[in-house]
Amino acid sequence: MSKDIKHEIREARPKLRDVSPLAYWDVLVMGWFNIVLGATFIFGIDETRFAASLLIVNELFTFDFWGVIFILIGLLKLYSLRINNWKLSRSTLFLGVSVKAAWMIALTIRTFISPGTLFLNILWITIALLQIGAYIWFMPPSTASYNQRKKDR
Amino acid sequence: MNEVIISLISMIGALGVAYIVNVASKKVQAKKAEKQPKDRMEQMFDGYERLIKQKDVEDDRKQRYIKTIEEELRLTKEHVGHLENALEATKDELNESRVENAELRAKLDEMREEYKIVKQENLDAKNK
Repeated sequence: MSKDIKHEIREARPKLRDVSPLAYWDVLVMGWFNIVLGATFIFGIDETRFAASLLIVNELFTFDFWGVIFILIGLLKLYSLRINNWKLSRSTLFLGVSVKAAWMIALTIRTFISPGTLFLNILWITIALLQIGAYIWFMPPSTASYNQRKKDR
Repeated sequence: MNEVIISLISMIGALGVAYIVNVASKKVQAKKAEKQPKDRMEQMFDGYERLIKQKDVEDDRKQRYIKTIEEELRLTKEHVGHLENALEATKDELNESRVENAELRAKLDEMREEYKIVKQENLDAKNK
């Protein structure tokens, strides 16, 4: 597909920001949050300072691994907004929900077995719930169905 | 070992949460779609459907009316049949009665004639 056609398609779609501002801001903020969090995992965390890790079970699932995952999800979110692809925004939001839910559960368990992560847990649960809420109530299903509804009206 | 168990629980839990979120999202979208106002074409179709339903009701009423008329017609035909039979029977009775009357009249005339003769003979006998 040529660049012109891609551009035209992008312009033809209604902007996510116009259709669902809350979903747009959630994807944008979460995108940057994921990038910052991922970068922090890779560059800013000294693993030796952690008495117990969260989802790190071997040499593969390290903080670096999760850092890369979070950065990728964040970049994908921003890219989906850039090309105004609702489906991709929705998928990345769902991916974020899944990863955040895994971390949320791990942090909750950790809160009970090693005190000191309660505040972090509450913060993380809030972020996860915000993302879940945005996905359930504010993220439109697809551009096609939105256009169909608009036509019907 | 704890790390592995926590990770496994987290992953399985995350799958469960993801599933629930996905189902909830689909339900919310479906409800939103239901709440959408109907477009003009759909409203027009609904109008046609109401008209067809009205016609159906009319047709049912006509059907019931036809059945009533058919029943009336059947009863009337039956009644006409009975009347025709009665008419035939009455005509037969009339013919028979007329024949009997003619026979009786003939007999009466005959008896009168006989009486006249007998009376004349008696008068003649007295006069002699």
